[in-house]
Amino acid sequence: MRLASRVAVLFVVGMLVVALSAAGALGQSSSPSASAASTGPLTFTYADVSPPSSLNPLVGYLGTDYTIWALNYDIPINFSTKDFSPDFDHSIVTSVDTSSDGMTFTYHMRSGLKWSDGQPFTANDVAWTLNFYKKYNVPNYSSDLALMDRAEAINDTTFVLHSKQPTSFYSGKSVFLYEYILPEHIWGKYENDYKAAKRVANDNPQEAVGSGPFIITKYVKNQYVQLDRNPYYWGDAVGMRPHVDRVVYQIFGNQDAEAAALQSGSIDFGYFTTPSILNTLKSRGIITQGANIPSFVEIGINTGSAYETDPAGGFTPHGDGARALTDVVVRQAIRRAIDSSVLVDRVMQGYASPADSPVQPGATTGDWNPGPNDPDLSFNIAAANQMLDQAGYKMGSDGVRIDPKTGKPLEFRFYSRTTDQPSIDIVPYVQEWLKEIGIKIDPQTLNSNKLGNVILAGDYDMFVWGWYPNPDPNYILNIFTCAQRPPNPNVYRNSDSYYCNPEYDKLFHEQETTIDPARRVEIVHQMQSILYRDEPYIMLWYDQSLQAHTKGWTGFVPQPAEGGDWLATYGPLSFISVRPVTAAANAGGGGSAAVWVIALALIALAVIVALLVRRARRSEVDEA
Amino acid sequence: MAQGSIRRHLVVKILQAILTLLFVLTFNFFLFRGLGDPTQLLAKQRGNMTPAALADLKRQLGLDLPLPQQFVHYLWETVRFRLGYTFDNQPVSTTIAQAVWPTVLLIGTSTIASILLGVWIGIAQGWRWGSRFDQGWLAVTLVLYAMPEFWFGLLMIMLFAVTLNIFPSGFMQTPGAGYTGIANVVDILKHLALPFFVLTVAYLAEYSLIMRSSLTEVLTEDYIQTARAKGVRERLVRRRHAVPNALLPTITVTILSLGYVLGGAIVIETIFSWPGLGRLTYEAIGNQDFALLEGLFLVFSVAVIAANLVADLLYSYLDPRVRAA
Repeated sequence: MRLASRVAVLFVVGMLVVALSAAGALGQSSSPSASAASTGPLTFTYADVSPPSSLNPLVGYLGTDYTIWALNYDIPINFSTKDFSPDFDHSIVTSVDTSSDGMTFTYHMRSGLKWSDGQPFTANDVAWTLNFYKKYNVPNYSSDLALMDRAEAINDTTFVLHSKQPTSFYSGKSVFLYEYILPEHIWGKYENDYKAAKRVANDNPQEAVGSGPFIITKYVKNQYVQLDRNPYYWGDAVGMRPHVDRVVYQIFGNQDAEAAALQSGSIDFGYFTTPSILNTLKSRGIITQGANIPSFVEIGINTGSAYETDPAGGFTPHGDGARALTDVVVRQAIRRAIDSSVLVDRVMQGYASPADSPVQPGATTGDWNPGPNDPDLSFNIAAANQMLDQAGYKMGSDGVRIDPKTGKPLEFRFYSRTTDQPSIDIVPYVQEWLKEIGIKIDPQTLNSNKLGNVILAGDYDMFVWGWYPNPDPNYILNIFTCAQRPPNPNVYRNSDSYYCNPEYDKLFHEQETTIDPARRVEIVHQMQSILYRDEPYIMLWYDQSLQAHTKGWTGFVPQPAEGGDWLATYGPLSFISVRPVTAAANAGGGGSAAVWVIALALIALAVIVALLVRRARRSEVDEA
Repeated sequence: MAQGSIRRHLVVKILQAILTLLFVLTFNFFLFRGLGDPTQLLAKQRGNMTPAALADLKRQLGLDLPLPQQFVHYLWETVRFRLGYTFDNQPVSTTIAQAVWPTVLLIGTSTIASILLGVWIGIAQGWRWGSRFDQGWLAVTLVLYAMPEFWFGLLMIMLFAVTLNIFPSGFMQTPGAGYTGIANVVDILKHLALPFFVLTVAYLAEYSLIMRSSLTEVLTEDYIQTARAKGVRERLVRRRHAVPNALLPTITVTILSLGYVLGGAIVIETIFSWPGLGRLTYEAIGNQDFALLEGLFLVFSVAVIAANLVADLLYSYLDPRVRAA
């Protein structure tokens, strides 16, 4: 065989391999839910560029996962869409009784509840789930259940939660139990095998049996999650019947393609992170908004990892943070020299709002704003300079102030994260502002893991990062307690500021164990004041969620009602209520031209291969 | 060449491939461990994990062990084809396996199409070296060669998905549509069209440029002059004497490119949300999913090493001079 013939044969073999691969791909992608397609389910498709971290409620941790779980499962009491207060009208629990000692809580459930496979959903399932989460210290729920001793079912519609100490957390006066309830008849087999439980992919209706309005029926990794109506949904009977048959979460590789899909109508709703894309969509007639979400961004400060000691023991000073930052005056001066509103306008293009407290507005304990009794820490460079002058930080000849205690210049390392563009974009602003008050920063960029390690080691001065707190502030307040400081460079704790204040700790414990919810709110606000005064975090802004939908859909129920997320709320109500403006809005597009183009391209390809083979053969004949 | 010599040649090549693979394994392990501890990131993102829960997590990910112990464990597991579990606790092997076929479908077809077109254009150019046709195509292929794929991809999305609304802007099938049979095939082809076109256009320049220069070089050889002097018709000179000899370097490049097929095209798969290995890599990097990344890099390395081996062996089959050397 001549070389040309050999090459031609190789090509043909290659084509065959690819053809077989294609057959494999086609076979693999055929859908089990095809029957539904033929009857034309009314589908609502929302999209983002973030794939679920996992559909398993023991494993996943992203907001994306929570949105899907909120459709598939119930939490005992839902957050009201208006203001995050308990919403018994739209929950499986209808009331809660609290014992006089504040340690026993009796939950009354609706009767006749069923799982998506038709099995009865009873108080046993709730008690089993809570005990299971507690037993294995499941990360997503460990904080909420920290005070719980055990849960037990009294009958099919009543379960009792026993607390280790008096508290208002479980009283139902506010929503604290953010626990997705699992069916015992599906998950019970993992009672003694947590590892196996975590490997449940939860990507088909047999595994993902739930009680919510939509059940996961298919997940194609990095492509889409499909959820179909739960035929046994309890909400149907109480005015919560979904308008659509199917919800699809489509996962794009990039936001430009997602925006294109929204414009062409192949998706109905999209989440974005780039303001310019949202602005473009807006200019092209797509409905957009920047929704308020609890996520915030702060400049964290090493308030003394290397210097503070714990009188009670358990903390070893470590790291090399600047001593000057242990002085609250320096931190307050930095606060006064940073103008969050400018950063919101320039860096976030207006899609954020300036922040004062790590407890977000709209948290279950209500809004808090700095009052007359709080120090004035508003943006004022002159006032910041004055504060530092008064505290003895004299300006050096090079324009950098000197710490009178150590004789060292006020020069701080400032870490941004490689994956977080705003944390990098704010650097020139912060650098310039702090220069004006005689503080020099040394900006560096690290990846998140590295920065985590640096914080654990205490080898930092300032960094930019953020949190996404729960509606209840307990967890986010906890990260500022002394016990949350990493006790040494090898053990993780949640504090990244090394803030330690016995007065604050005392209040933290008090809010945990106060039975009166109104009193708890007072204490929480007092704690917010302390954090504002002491500035372990220089709060920058509350993020907004950038979202857009086509004009074809209506019925969104934002949470909170004022400027909240249109769709991904803490419960399923918006998905239940969403519906097309007209029936035509949901009609799929054609594309017969595309089919012809592809067919022609394939034919052209086949002709080229055939020609090559023919030529090869002919040259063999010529030779013969 | 003697039978023993061929066997020795084979054994040497295979041993070289195995050694390369071992080096890659070691390199992979230390590369990913150098990136830091992912539990910190998880803690920040979850925002509600107790320290005890985090310690548990670290233990489960095997990150609490000393580095040498982690390395031995990694090697032993890899040898047994156990690639571990992804961050979402799914086996790395099945996660990768699911992404292989979409990649082979997209990258495989477009690579082959670009080879065919590229070689064909390259032959035509080389044969008419210096002509207007050659100069025109040279300009076109150089532009295509220099063009960033992501830019071209986005341009195509804007044109065909938004403005003309003929093709979808991404994905391999319409999510949630549940098509079967022919409708499903058509749906996949519809989704394949744009990324296939972009990749084919982006790759073909490489092959046409190599083929062109190779043919140009061959045309100056004495045996071409001899053939012409003997009165062989131009068509036959090209087909029998010039092209077969000029094809050799192209074949090497082609086989090596096929090794990269499994590596996917990270940029294009991400732009078009194509569910292949490239997209999987992109997501794994985003999640800092060490186990999945190690698995992916292993697959890519094996594919490239295997393609090298095949190229080596094939070359000696196609060109006996290599064997003799």
